Amino acid sequence: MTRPKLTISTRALVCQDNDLRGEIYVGAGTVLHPQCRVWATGGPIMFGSGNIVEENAVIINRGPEALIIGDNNVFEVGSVMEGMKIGNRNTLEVKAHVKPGTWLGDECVIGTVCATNENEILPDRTVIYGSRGDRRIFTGSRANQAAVHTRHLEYLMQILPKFNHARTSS
Amino acid sequence: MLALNAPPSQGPVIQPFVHYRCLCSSPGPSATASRTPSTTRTATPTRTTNIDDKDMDIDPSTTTTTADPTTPSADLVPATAALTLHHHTHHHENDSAGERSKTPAEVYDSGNNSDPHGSHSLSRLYFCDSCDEIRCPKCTQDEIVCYYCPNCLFDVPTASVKSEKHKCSRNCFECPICQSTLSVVSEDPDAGMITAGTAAQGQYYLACNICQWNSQEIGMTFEKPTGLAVQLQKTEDSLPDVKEFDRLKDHLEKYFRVHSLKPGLPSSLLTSIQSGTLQSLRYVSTSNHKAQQSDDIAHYTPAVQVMEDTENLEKLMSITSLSETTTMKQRLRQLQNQTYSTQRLLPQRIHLRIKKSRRCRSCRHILVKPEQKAQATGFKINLIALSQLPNITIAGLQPMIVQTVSRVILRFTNPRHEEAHVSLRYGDGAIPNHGVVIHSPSFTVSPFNEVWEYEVGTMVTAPGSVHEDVYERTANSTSIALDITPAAAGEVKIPLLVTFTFKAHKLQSDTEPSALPTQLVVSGSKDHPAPEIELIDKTVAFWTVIGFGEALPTFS
Repeated sequence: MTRPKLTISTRALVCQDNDLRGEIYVGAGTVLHPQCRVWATGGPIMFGSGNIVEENAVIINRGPEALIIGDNNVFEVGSVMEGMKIGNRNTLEVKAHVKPGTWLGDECVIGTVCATNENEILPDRTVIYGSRGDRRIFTGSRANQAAVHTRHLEYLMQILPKFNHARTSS
Repeated sequence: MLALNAPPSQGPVIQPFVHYRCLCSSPGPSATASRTPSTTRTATPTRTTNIDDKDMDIDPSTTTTTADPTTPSADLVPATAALTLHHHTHHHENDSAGERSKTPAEVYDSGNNSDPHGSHSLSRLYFCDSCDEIRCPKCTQDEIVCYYCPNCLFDVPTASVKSEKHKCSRNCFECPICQSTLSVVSEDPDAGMITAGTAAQGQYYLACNICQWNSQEIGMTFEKPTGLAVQLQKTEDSLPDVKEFDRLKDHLEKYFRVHSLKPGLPSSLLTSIQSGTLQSLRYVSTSNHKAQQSDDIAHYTPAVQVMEDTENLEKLMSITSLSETTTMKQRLRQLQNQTYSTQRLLPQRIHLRIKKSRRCRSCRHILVKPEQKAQATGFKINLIALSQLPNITIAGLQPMIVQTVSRVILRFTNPRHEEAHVSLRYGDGAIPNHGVVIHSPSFTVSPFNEVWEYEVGTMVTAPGSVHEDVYERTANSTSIALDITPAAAGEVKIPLLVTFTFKAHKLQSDTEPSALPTQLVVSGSKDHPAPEIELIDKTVAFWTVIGFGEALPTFS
């Protein structure tokens, strides 16, 4: 395995002990936990700002084009992201799976153990939830969610460096 | 345990099983004979059986000479010869006169077939220790112990359950979309610290963390985060459907009060339901066909006139996607108006749950009783069969082939703290009648001891040793071998009569009838117990149906 080509913002936090491959750009305020996997086996993977990639989350870009990840997305424990594009403020809950070729809009929520179909385009604010993978478009405000996300990031930036070594650009 | 390969035949794989038969559902006249007197017999037999016991204690010579206590039912005989056995001891007759239980012959007759109908796995059964009989869910009775909210675990007093419509009246709501629990959220995440004076109008709302629904979508906000049920109740009560129902209820209630038939049964689950809606329905249905004789219900005029619902119809006709309308589940959760529009779905208060106790139908003793508190998960009384009867498991199994002997290992595990003696008998009433050879039909099982829990695998006797001719003997279990020759292809099921003798403490107090030796073959006090603790032999016979999977016609 060749060494990954990392470009990490000085205000981002990318822990060691994770599995990064290929060409990866990490924007300001993004946190990559230990034990996450980001594989840019095809084109590069570009993180915007304020994303959180938790333990055992997998982000793979197999295609030739760059996978651009917007701002303030959360990839929770064990989630798998194989899609083509992801907007802002999306949440992939525990063990959620975004199948290859899928486009995610803004503020989508892929619920726990839910999956998208391959090659589909999810409109903004789509929620996939429940054991049968029901879908709906929600309309209520997510202002609360944004506040929680900001505090989440603040906390991680404080706590994670105490127990983990951080990577820097290569 | 051997790995079982799926047979190459079509259809679902037939799994081996061990089922215990409850006598309540067994065919034959004996089953009904012992069940009918259950209503006439009340608490009085306690005294009569006590007298029996005294008889037995005073004059043990008669009992010990007539009944062989060491092998009380090893010589268990088929139904025709069983009458003579029945006459052996006089207190047997007393027992049967009190009709407390079945004789071994009746037990033998009642379940001598391989039909698994009416039999259950041991985990689903109870064992009444005053009847000394297996009880299944059918011959036990449910009773409500308490009502509680599954979300806030608040015990709701029975008196207020009905007025609160069986729903939590505090802060627990379920999502109208996905039925998961809603949480109360403030618009301002730091509102907890801010004084109430600055709180804007309608600052709090309900949000679902699963499907991201929130009550702002339907314009529902709250001024304060507590007592939401009362606030929501106002909007609920103002619905025309709810108003109409209340009016109709008020109208009919005075008639129910006059005509209500109070059943004499105790407050069982069924009667409590009946006293509510079902009874009202019954009254309405009976009053309909005798309306000519007693026309005592005044004509009811509805307060709300339902308009022709053309608007709804048009909306439904124009729907292009199913997500635009409500699902059946969502409509059934909102019974009062059952709206088709997702915009009109309201958060519902969470339904209360109950804790149930179970009572033996024939002796009225309680078999299972949970703790009264919602938070406590233990049981005050827990007479489940798993902790009292030998647990039979199939420990070794060879594939069944027609007309070929295959050996199976049955393991008997004793959950009791006393040594148990088990004798087995193959029921010849099975169809088809497979050839069954039981290698050690009579054996003992060591008592259960907590210490052994930590010494798994300690062999008391090595497998295959000649000691008592059992196959294997471990801490509190004994395994025996059976040779089975399937007579025909298909599922191999054999009925096996298990006669189980154990020593039970005889309690001195007359008020505690649970340990009295009233049952089946009471063999008398054979040993010489200490003056304080009297030990008596209790024998329980029951049928099991054991399935060994499917027999193949030939080697394949």
